Amino acid sequence: MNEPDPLDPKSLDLPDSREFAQTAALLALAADPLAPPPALKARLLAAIRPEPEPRRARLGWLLPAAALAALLLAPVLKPARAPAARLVSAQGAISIAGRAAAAGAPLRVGETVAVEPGGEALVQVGGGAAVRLTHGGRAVLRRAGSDIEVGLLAGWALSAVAPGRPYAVVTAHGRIAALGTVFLVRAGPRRDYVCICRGRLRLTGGFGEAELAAEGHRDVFISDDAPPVPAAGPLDGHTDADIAAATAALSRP
Amino acid sequence: MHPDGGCARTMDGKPEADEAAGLLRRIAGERDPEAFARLYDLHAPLLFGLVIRILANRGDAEDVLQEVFLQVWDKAADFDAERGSARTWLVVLARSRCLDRLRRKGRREGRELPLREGGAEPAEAPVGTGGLELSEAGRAVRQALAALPEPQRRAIAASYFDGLSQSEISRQTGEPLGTVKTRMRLGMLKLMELLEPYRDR
Repeated sequence: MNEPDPLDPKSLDLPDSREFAQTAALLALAADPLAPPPALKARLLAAIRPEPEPRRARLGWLLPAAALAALLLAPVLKPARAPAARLVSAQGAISIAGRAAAAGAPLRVGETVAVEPGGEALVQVGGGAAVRLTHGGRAVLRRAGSDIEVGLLAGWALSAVAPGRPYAVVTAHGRIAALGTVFLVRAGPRRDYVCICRGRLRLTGGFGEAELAAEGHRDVFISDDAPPVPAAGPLDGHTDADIAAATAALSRP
Repeated sequence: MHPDGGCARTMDGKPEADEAAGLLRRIAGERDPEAFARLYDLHAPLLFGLVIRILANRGDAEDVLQEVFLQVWDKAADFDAERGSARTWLVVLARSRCLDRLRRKGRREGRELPLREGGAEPAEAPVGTGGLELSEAGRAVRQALAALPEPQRRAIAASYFDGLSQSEISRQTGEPLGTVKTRMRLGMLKLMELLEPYRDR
């Protein structure tokens, strides 16, 4: 919910006019304009990247027939834009597509789930992956072919993925694909921190491609232009209990 | 009279204002990433300067700017050109997000009353980005603020840039609440007069 503006015209006994609002907005120009870091734009553009067009097979007469069948069956079929994920649990202020969300809320492709600092959201993605967003985590669901991937815009994402389930977290710096694993990604402006808590990951980005495996926690940084480098030490904040909770979400109905 | 003595124009300058409104329509209607990128290029420096001025923290400012543009992507259809320019809409979104964040962090009252002579200054030196040139309208706004008596200017800046309520300003300055309110009221009336040439038509 938005806070009331302390420069409210009514509190000054002035009419709530268009002139007042525009004058107040003009005050922003008193601040020096400042170029944001380029990575911020890259993150935003990655987040809003359109879904790829589905490949069109040469089906000839089948297309009109399929369209007619779809029309006839529409009342008994699920909506075309069915939820791709679901909020399993929520602590603190969580929003989906800008609206407050509670446990059980659906999350569709293209929608952003946001966790306020101090909050936590556990999201079940399809049947074989779960992601726990913390530390101001903000992620958008995207479609990659027939798979769903998580575009991580900010914060931390601890993912648990069932073996054989295609799943990836994408940041401004690269794509972290699970090969049956539990892993944590912390999105940063200049580089991302990745912890392979267990299993194998394929990392892809401007640095090329790398495959990493670990039995226990293994920590690396990835950036645009250098191969993954080992981190000095693990990040706090993804405990065995966190991993167990994310893993348990895989099998929830 | 125009503050710079030049020809009157709106806050955005007409061509840029039209372009931004068109970009918002393309975002809302066509979900066009190129329009989004262009809107970002046009307005991100202004908004980043504003949010870093309000939040005084570069990390928070980056977060808020990101939130604002994601909100733009999701809510571009809410923009109504009849009610003001795209830039006005974006500034309102950005400032509102900043005030929310300041309130959540509960750090407004710990801040010094802001605004040095002549207008706001960036809360942090730019790191590797460099400040950008002020627009004509930006210079006019600074001159208009500088034309106010200092107590009026400080009260308005404390409210606008730090989100302080009149009561909070009164506590910080030790002045009666009615005095603070009168100063803000007179200051805003004067600014509405001085900045009239720069408002949206």
